[in-house]
Amino acid sequence: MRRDSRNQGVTRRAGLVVALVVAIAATACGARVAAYEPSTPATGGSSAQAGGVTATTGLSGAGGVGSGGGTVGGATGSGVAGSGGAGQGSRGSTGPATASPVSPTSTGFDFSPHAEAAACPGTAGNGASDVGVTASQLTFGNVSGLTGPLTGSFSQGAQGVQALFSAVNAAGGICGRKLALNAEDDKQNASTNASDVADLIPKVLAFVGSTSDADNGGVPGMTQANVPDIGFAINCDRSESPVYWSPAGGSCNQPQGASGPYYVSNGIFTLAKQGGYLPTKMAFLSYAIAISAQAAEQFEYVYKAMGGTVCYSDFAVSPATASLESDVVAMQQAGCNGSFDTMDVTGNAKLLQAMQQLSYRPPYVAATFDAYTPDMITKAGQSAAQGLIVGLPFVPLAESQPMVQLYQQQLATYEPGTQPSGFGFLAWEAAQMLMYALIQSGHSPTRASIVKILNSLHDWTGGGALGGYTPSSHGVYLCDVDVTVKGSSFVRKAPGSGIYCGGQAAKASS
Amino acid sequence: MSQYWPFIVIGLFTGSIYGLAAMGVVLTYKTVGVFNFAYGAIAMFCAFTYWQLHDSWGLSAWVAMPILFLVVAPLLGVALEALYRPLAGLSAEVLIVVSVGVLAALGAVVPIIYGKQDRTLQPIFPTSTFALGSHFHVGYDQLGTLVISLAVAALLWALLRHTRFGTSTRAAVDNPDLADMVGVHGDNVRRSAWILSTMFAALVGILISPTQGLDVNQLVLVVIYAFAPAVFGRLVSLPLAYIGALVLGVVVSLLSKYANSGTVANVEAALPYLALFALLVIMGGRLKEAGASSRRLSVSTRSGGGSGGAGAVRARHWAVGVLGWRLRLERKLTVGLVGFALALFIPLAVPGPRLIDITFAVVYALIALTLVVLTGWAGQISLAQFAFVGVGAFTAGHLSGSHGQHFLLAAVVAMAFAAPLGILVGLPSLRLSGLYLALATLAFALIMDNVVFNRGDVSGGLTGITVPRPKIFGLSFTGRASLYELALVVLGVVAVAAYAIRLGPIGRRLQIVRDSPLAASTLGVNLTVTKLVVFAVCGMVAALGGTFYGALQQAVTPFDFMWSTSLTLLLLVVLGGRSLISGALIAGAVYGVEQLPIPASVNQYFPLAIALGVIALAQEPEGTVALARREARRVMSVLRPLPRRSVGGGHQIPVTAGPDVAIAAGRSPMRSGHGL
Repeated sequence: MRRDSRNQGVTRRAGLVVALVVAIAATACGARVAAYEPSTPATGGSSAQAGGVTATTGLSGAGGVGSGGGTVGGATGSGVAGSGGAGQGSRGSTGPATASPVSPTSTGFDFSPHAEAAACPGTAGNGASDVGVTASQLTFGNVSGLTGPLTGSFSQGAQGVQALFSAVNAAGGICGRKLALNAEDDKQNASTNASDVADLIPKVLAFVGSTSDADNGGVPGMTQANVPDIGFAINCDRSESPVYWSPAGGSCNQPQGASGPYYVSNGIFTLAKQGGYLPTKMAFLSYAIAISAQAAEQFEYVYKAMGGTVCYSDFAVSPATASLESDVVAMQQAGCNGSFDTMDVTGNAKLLQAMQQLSYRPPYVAATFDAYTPDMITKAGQSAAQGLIVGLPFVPLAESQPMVQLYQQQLATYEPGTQPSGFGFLAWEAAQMLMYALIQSGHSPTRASIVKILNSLHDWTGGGALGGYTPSSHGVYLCDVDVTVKGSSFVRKAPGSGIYCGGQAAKASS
Repeated sequence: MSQYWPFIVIGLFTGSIYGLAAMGVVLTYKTVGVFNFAYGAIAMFCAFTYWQLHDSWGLSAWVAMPILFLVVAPLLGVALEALYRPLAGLSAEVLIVVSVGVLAALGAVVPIIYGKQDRTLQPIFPTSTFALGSHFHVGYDQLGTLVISLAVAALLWALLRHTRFGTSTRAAVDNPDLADMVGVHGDNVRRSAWILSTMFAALVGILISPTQGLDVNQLVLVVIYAFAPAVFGRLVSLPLAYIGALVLGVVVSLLSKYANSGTVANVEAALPYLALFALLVIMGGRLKEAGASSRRLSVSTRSGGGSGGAGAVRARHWAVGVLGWRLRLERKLTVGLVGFALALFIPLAVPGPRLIDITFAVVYALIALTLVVLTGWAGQISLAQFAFVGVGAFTAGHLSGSHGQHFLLAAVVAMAFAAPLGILVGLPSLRLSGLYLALATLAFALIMDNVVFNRGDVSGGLTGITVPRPKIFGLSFTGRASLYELALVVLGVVAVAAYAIRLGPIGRRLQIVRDSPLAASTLGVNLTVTKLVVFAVCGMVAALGGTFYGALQQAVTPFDFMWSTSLTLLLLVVLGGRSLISGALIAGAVYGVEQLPIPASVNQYFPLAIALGVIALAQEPEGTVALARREARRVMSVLRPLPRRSVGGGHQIPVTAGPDVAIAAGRSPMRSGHGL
């Protein structure tokens, strides 16, 4: 499920857990962002080889706002630009890694582990400058939902961070210090999250890559202790926290406080509109679960504000329902030519199967980020899944963009057996942002110095795999890439290359 | 009208899926006398096994199906029969607990055996479609499911109605002793019935999983969805259950045409649970539990001991007089006070963040205590207790958080909200007991989950609701230690009050209501008032616990109070000891341990261990406390010196009388190793 503006998946803290007892579970919606298995690199004007070889990426993004690319291991980074904005595609260096970052936008920063290690060489001046810092080691915390009802959904976050840490350590560490990750399992339970965070605060310099649907639990503790939290938030409390920084925003935005309206990016709709495939009469579906229904209502609100007609809505789908055929018939009778839902993989599969069963397939069937998994295709059946559209906040993992390649390369090397995933990649990107801040902090990193660096970042693109975002803004992340199911895998649908960042932060509730 | 036909046809197909599940539940209840909450889990286990055989190992369906239906399912059936055999004739409470324990155990063991990933099970029938009318298409798999469910329903009906096996199973369930007398071998019949039931579960699993998704939860949910039609068939009629399922499918399908957001949509999603609750209330007195005529006294009333004694033992309790009562009271109070005093110093020993975990354990024990009173003492089983916790937490969030009201006021208002809800849950208890009461409370929990807690204006939707830490009369309890102390004091006060009630006339009234409602009525106990008051009070205290739960967590969402959390509570209380205050404390302690950062490799076995513990201790009202006592006595008996030879050369007969007799004689039971 999704609780957010960005299709970020979230959760189904499902149910019937007999909680400690079992995840029997239940009701919920949610996310099931299982492992993503990269398929054959998609076409899209991109070609690259991570690790020191040239990489080029097509630079046309219709209407998109360009954002800078980065450099990986001496490879040329992928520039991402759009005709509607100021592109900052980096033409990164080739050959030996550059030593120091040159811009708080990530442009020109070399994300390869050797370059990161080389950016702050030697141990001279190292001391215990803050909590979690010794002359030889930097300790960071990670509190993720490693176990719980959503099995396998959130563990990739910690694994992505660990892979990066291992790679950097193998290259010599940052300023001669090894990076250590102290990861704890919150069991997807907010109270455990709170106590885990409290447990780690006296031990770690910062939190990085925490990924859990219960990440609201530890927010008060981190805020009170003023500990930097770099990652990808699922709950609103975390994404609005003053000590939270992310390379891709948060999953929900409520800038005027808990009683104020929500805001979401309308990018998925404006991108479709530019591509000429936004339906005029859309159906919206969600589970009868608060976070699922509210997310669907927000997207519906935004769609209507754009002048679209809502032909049918059902925000009461039970996770236990045996079939969604009656919904599909209702959509058919209402003349819908598109559908958008905030259900999990199982719900999406039921919807697609019902459409196939009834031989009714609107030209636009879109789902949120949770659906970006091979499970989606196998569960729905390959023929039923064809054409399903999913919006992503980053460059598709199957492409040759250097950063997504580097992520998968490090994962394969240091965390073998771990499948790449959307949550994993976002956590890894958060850790890369932390590397930047550490290098800038030099030999005496402190929580304050990290915060200062993070606050200075703007239009951060994470090496070109993300759209430009200013972490300190805590604003809505506006960038999107649509992928669609073709054959047995997801392939890019729009924009033709790069990332589309032409969406707006749209009011999504009254 | 033509626009409705597609919804009706779809509803029939969908209903046939619920019908399969409902018939499975009815079949088990009818043939073995167990309402199997784990039916969906058994179907899920079988479906995973079939996936392993067919999809993973690549065996053809002609090989995989015989293995599943002729080997795996029968073996599982035999295992279940062996599990339930010692429980024959015991109270519905015990059977429900074991059933939920099996559900939990299978839910835990499947990810361990088959991995945590979701699976996709290949459908048995082709998923291609054929046209029905000008616009409507029907899948062959849908048609196949419908035909199979109809055929199986007819076959089972004939089997149970017109064969000796059917007669034997009914006899063995209704009155096993009488059945034995007329030559029906109860064990064999029950074993066969379990095998048949499990084979049917396997069929349900492989028929439904391809469209529902093969994961740990989905089949469990579908089966719970089918509880209403099963009850419509009064748990004995396969045809009625099937018809009820078809009606449910059609109504839900038709409603979806008008689906929208808001309350109506929430009600639509909760329709099966509303129907379940309504059916139980309406059908009330006409519902008869299988084997009730031959049921022995509940284990909780026959095992006695401690504060949960029954029958003759209890009679002795009352007879031993004031001396023994006071001695026991003083000893327990002393132990309790010492424990409480020591607990007050825990913040000194655990000053760090783990104190939050311990505070959660304290709050959980407070909530668990309400279930001890309700289920262990008053005999009113509830599967909805965490719904009251949710009421408390969300009320505190709205009043104390959003509106800045005093925490005490929020707690009082929360309890005030909970009282009528408690009475509402208690109303079915006036006409229902045992299994049907459990189902009614389960339906209530599901309704609260779907209709109330999932409303954004109740629970805060995406963000949940913030609950601030309490400040009472100028004292701040925002710190870990102070909040812990406050929660501990509240628990202490409630526990002492409960203990005092237990030993007083109200406690005796609860016992007799539990043990024999008929006798209670004869003795002038007002059953209506007693039951409603105990439901209301326990709901209020649970809501009070909810305010603390919310304040501890500081932010709550509907997920924190899902209906399944009430099942967890029941299991932990059973594990601890459902007739003892210390059982609630143990439940809290286990919950606290679960909060600790246990490595994932170990953590996956934790739920399984708890489930197995619950199954093993389901018959024992005093749970692990009784187990510990038995072990202590065993150790003491080993350590005890051999009896001296008497002057006359004979042996003194070891004392076998219970501890109460020893107490009555003014000796400690542990030291009463010699004759009276």
